[in-house]
Amino acid sequence: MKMRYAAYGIAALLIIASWIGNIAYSRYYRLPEGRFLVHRIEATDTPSAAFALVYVANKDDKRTIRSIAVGGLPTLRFGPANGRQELSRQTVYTFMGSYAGDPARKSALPPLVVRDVDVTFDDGQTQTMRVGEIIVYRDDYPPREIDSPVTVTATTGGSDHSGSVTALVNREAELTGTTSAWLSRLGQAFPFRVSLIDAIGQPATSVKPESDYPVRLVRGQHIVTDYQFRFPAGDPHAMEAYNLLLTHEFLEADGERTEYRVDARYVPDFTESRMKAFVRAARREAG
Amino acid sequence: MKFSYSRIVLGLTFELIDFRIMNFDLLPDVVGYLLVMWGAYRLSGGNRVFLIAWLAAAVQLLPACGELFGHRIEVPLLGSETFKTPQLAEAALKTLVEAAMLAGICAGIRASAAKRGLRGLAEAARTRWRIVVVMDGALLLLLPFLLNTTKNSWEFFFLLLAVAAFLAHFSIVFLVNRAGREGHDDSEEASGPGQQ
Repeated sequence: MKMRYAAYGIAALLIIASWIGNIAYSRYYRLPEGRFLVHRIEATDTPSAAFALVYVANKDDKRTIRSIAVGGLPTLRFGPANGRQELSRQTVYTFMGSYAGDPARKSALPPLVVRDVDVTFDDGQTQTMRVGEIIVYRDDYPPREIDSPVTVTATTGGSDHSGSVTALVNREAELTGTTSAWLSRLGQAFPFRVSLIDAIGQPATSVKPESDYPVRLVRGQHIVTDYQFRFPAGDPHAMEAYNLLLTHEFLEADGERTEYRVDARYVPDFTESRMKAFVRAARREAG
Repeated sequence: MKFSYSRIVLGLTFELIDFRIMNFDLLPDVVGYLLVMWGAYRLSGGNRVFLIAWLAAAVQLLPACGELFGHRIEVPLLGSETFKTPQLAEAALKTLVEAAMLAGICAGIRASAAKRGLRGLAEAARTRWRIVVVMDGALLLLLPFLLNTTKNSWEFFFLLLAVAAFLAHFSIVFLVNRAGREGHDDSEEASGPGQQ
């Protein structure tokens, strides 16, 4: 009899422990509130698709985002939330931004750096939320037709966060630089390679910006830009969203300087353990 | 009168089986609990332990009424939604009260059978109750894990457990039916506990 009561007692204790443990664990891995990833973005403000913001919310959050406004970019509008990834407790959403034409703007302006956005929720509340650092290049406006020495002929992207862009050289020019605001920050996490191909089927010759530039480009050649976001395991930057405008700078025969930008994007793929690390960091930050 | 056992058999059948058309249960749980209460109350004249079943069925009447108005206590394992603590706690509480009701029924049958020397029936009541305890215990233990696991990985396991628990509960219907056939004693069936 005593043994039976002891067994019932142990079972009851196990059940109670299971509930307490699971509820505590579940609460611990809940975000204090929805938040944007840290973004490191380079973008322009030409009328077209702009950039995407990535937002993480608890699945049981009652309020949802109704609209996002960015100070200094009055024509930027964000579309509705698109579910990107479902995890056990959180959902990752993307909000795609696009610009309408801005008749008020007539000339180039210095780059704008955005660190916060104003978010309006469906309960009517507005909150300023941090989004990382978004550099918006405000070139000539309305955008002038650029007679670039190169034309993009092929673009590929891989699920391993790699990509490749091939451009045909239309006329002679010098490749003088390949830059991006985020190259120094990313370092080894963003290996990229610029290669030249004299003709399709010929072997590619790799050129290094630091040692081989300026490089003389001949009409008919192809410039191939290969890149990959490759974060080491445990690197906290792997949970940030990147958008690089890898800019090739050209000096033409008549002395004119032109550019050609390769758009390299990275949005982290969350696993359950990565999301837990993200939530832990958010909780630490919230205190 | 074997009718008290029959009422419990019918009541449990109403309560355990959901036969829904357009979201309306053709075998409403409210009717089931009322029948169990009726049967248990009549049998409690012979053995007061049946009052546990009566009380547990009475407690379940309220949520059963809620079901008539669309508030169903359930854990949809095949859906895509995530689980919340109150939802699982509600389901756990329902499982607990349900187990108490079945405990009252099994204990009552066992005591009555033992009193009249029906060892087979008493043993069956004890075995069925143990199976129910194990199944419901496993459900109560594992239910909160649904808060912390991706549903897909546990879906099959929980479905299996839920089916096993249902079969364990339904086996009590057969036990009560058997008790009605072989363990019936008219002297137990006064009009309630006050008539002893």
